[in-house]
Amino acid sequence: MKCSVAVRIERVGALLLLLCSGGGLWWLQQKVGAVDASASARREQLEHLRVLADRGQQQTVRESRSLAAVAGILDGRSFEWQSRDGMSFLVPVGPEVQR
Amino acid sequence: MRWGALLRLLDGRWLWGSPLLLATLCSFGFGLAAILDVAGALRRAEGVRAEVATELARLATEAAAIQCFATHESQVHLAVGEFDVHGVPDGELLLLSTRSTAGESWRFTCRRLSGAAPACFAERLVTTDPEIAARVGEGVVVAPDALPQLDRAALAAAPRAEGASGFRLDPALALLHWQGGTEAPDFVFDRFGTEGWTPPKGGLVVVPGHLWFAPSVSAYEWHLEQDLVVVVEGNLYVGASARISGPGRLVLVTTVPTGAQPFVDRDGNGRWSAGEPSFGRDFAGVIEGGGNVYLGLPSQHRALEVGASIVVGGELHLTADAAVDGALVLSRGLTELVAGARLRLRGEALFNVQRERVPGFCTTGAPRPGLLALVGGGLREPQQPLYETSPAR
Repeated sequence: MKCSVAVRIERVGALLLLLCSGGGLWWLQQKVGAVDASASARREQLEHLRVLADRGQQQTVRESRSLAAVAGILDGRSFEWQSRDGMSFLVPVGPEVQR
Repeated sequence: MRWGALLRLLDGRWLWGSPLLLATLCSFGFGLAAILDVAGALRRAEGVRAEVATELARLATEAAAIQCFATHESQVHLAVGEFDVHGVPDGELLLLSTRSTAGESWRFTCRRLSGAAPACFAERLVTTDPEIAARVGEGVVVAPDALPQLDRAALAAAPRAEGASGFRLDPALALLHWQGGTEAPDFVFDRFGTEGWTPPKGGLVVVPGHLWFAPSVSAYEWHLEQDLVVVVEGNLYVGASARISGPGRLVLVTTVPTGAQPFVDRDGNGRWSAGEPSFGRDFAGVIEGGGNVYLGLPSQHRALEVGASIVVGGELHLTADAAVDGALVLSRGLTELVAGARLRLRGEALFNVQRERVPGFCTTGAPRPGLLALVGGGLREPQQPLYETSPAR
């Protein structure tokens, strides 16, 4: 059973369309997966930061282990420990705390 | 003729007969799935970004609040990293508004504290006796003068159990459980009166007598919106479990009132007997003593869960397996009235003593901000127009 040229072109076009759209969706899903992985890593960093901040609040004296852990913890951002009247607290690094 | 066309449309042969049309429909579906995927990823990423920004704002505000107390000024304006924090006192509270350079703003509030709460409320077990810590397998051993001190002025101003909702006098209860009853008045947590209970505003109640959790199979269950400290000027008898839900925590404190003395109730009969050691020169005062705590009662040996912190002014007596959610502070000793009775310390209702208040207790250190509470946040300010709009002529 022979097909006409037009039918063959239509079938090849349909196949190409399917391949392109399917491939595009697959590529996009890879990108979305990468974005999700980065967001989930960021959330983990955030949780770590929260734990450190809570622990710091409950300490009267800063711990050197905690001090080491807060450099570049969130998006490469650094924090520093400050303490006053027995309370420790984390400060996002930037200009010195000033009045 | 028209019916024939409709039937041909429904049999779907036209769809399979034209692969290009089918492929276009599939591509349309793929496109839709891609849009949904990207939208979902964007939403999740935005959620994380907002959480990160709020956490950074909280840390900056935290630093500013602490700085604010150090300067002793009524209003403060501080720059911390990329955030601008403005603080205004409002009675017992400090209101803080924080703005980022990106134009987002948050509002926080915190309580003004006179100092740090007693450190023992951050520990699962605090005792003056190293032998108890060794027996329980954990705990912090402190000197007697490091035990938490009640604020006498706050106690004098606190409501008494006679007039407070949630408590009632029960002269018969002690007779049901101790031969001869007790000499001091017996108060009981009113199980039914405390459903939907609003504890006193200051979070402190004084019970001028003994306090009972009436023995029962079912547990006392309360929802507390704020912390509540119950100071018992007598003994505490826990005959039923107590479960607390909500943001509030319960603290039970026994003190030794005038005319009573704590003692070690070795025979577990609820009254001092000759030969039982008392924490005084000679035993005197009411026969049941004062300041003691009984976890479990002679008629009740079921395992107990106490969703509270307990500060024991006298001796702790253990008649059943007991799990304590908060801090357990022992001024004297621990006596197991039933062999093998176990004490479990869960540490689920402890305090952040540096930043939280425990009503009725003396504080130490400098005034400070309490824990921050977010009251509004992540609001992006509207863009300012370059030119004022004017009505068309």
